[in-house]
Amino acid sequence: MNVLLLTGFIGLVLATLFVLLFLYQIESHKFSSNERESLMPLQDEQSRSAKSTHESNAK
Amino acid sequence: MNQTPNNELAGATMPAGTSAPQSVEELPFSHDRPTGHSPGSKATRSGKITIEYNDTVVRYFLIASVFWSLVGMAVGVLIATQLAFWPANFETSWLTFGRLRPLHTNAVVFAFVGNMIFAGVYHSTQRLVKARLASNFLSWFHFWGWQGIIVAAAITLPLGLTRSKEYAELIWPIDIMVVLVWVAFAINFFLTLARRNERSLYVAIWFYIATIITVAVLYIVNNLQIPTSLTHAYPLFWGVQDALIQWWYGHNAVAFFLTTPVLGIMYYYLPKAANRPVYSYRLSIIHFWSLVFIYIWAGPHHLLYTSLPGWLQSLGMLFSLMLWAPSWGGMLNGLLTLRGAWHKLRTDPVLKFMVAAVTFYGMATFEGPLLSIKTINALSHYTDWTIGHVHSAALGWNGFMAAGVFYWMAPRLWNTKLYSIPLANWNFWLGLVGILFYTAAMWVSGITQGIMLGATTDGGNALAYPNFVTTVAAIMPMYYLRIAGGGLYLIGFILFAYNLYRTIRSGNPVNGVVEVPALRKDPKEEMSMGNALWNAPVIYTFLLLTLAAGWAFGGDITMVVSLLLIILITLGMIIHFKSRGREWGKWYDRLHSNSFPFTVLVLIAILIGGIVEIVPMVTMKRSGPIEGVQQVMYTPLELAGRDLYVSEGCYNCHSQSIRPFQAEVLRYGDFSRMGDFIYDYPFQWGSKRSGPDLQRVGGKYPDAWHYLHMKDARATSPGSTMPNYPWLYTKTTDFDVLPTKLSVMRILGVPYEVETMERASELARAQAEAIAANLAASGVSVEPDRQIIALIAYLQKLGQSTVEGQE
Repeated sequence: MNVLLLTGFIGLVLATLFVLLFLYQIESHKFSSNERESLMPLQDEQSRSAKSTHESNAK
Repeated sequence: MNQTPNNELAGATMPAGTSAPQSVEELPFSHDRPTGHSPGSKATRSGKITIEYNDTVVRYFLIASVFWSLVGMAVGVLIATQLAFWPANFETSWLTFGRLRPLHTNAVVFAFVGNMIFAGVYHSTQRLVKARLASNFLSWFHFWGWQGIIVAAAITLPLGLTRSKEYAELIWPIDIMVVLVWVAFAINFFLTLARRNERSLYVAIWFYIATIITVAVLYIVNNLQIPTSLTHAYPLFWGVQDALIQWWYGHNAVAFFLTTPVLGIMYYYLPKAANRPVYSYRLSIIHFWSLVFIYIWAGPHHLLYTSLPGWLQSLGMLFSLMLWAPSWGGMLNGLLTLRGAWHKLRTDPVLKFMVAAVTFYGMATFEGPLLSIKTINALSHYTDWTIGHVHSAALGWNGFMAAGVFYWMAPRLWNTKLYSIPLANWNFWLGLVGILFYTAAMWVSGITQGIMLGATTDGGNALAYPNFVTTVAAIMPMYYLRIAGGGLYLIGFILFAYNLYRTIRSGNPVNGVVEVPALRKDPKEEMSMGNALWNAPVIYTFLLLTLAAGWAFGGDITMVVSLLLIILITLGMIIHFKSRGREWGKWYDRLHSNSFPFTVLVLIAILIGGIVEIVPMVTMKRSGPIEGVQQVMYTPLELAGRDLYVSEGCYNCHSQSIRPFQAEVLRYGDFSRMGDFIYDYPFQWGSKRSGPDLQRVGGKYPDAWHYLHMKDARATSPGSTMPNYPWLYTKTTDFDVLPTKLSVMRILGVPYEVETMERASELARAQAEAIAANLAASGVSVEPDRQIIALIAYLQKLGQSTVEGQE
């Protein structure tokens, strides 16, 4: 039973910490980091026929 | 609409016709646009916008780059052949080495690598900032303007229309075109940044920013000139000033045209091809700032042991050595990006090229500082060792990076597979073996000739090899090997072009499309210029730089006080960082989101070195002798001859700067002083001795010797590899333009009398007749108005300075 209480307590502490840090992050408007920025080239993209674009621009 | 997953290996893209999971055409358009919109973008009700990139212009730059690579390299193989077999000059003015060598360098640097850079910058920037290029008009103006410049260069350089400044040979109207096109590029690039939908700027963008602003500064300053006609101008700076500014530009053309943009490209495409982020983003920050700050100082290492002041030579050498650290930081950052993915090298030609390119970057940036050490430079300078060095960088770093990027890019831009991976592998191995042949041949050739030219006997009182031609004969086998190496590399690139051609033919052009949340302005993220400059890291940097200057240049007391303050401030800075480091980090993160303050800081970083080195030199007075030496002004005919010397590109093979070494003084005459060049516009010190130095050739041989030598160098110097110049004996000197040229010289500060200027044509004719009469006395009959007479007048004037205390 003590184990359950301890687990619940630690869980609450971690959850509270998460919420506080999350709010701090929102407040500080800092959504980026070196680690996140280093991933920027890896983003995927779709592609569209250049001819259709050309035709739609011509219209 | 098709989908092209970017992280797949080259040659493994989705086949044409595959349906995409979502159709961007069906997305509703909203007039409630937040911010950051650019042409080609559509907003959705969910606050997201869909952006279609302008990849058409990227495709054009790619094709242009591949085309010009073949032209530039073919000319390279031809001029390598000319150095080994002089008849390959074909006794034709526009096919002569002196005129074609600038065409080769301009074609590979600005046409091949330039177009590759623009393709890479435009392709990656759009994706990194999530915005379409700001202006279609500017993009096309940039593309066609740049091709127009290249065509203009390809016509004017073989015609002998040149400024004789290496990598800046183009005449002034083309210079203006270059500036206009570069400004269009800059506006297009910065406007695209302004309309971005990604707050932070990725490291590649920093390198592109540094490239754009630094090349603009370098190009404008080095091309300051006063025209005398539509095709000719004199530079604003004389002799030693001109040499310093030229090599400040020349070295940084390598740094900021061939290195920083390609590093930016490496930081984008290498992670992309390896499908993993760059090894260390923090290291890239150090790499960037240290590289752009240090690089700009290194130019004087091209002028070691010349009459450039010693303190500038020392700065050039010191900063070149310092470049080792950031360059290798960048190389390691690139190579370690492959951690856990090295096995891909076995199958992926893209990574194979890129990794070899980065390795060559590391080798070349090791060799560069090595060659800048004065004692090593004493041997290597003016020899083929330097040629080997630049080609290991140009062929290995730039050429292989271009191949890697285009092998990656082409299948994606045309939504197809790479036509042939085995052909790409052939390209790689032929290129690699070609580079190794080339550089090894040039190392052996350079060291051999350097040792032979410097060798003395009789206790240092006589030359071991007094005939220059003996040293040329000794290195000839290496010249044959160079042709083989260059030829292999060219064959590899012909396969490259064919492979890309077949790839393009098999696909259809597609543009990249992304859907991203529109970037909303956040006042908290904005940074004012005041905040960018008035900040602890910046203030500490300025303080320490100022004190370092005091330590380096100050007198005894200033030096000691500066050093003590450096130690104290550094300690204080460490303590400050411990307590406020987090704030500094936040400040720097915000700097990455503010392109204007970032650009201004980069501009300051690159200007410091230039200002410290150049301002003391360009403000130097030269009203009288410098260190007791004063050059004698050129007569109008000698000036006309000098312009012919420039036009024929003689500086490509002959230096005019004698170093203070025993062997050089024995071979060429007294070593050069600053005062020897005060009326030289432009300077003609050269950078390579395929033939002997000419600074004191004046009066060494009779007029008839020069007459014969220019007609057939073998007649006076058996074994010489110099081309014949038959057209100099038929073409006439333009005497009528001389008053205009002298008037421009007067504006530049050359103290010609008004009467001399007004009678310039008449005086030139009189001197030409005297030389023709002298030749007639030697049994040579020639009309006085032929170009050879003016050239002889100039050659006989070389090295004629007055020295205080001497008659």
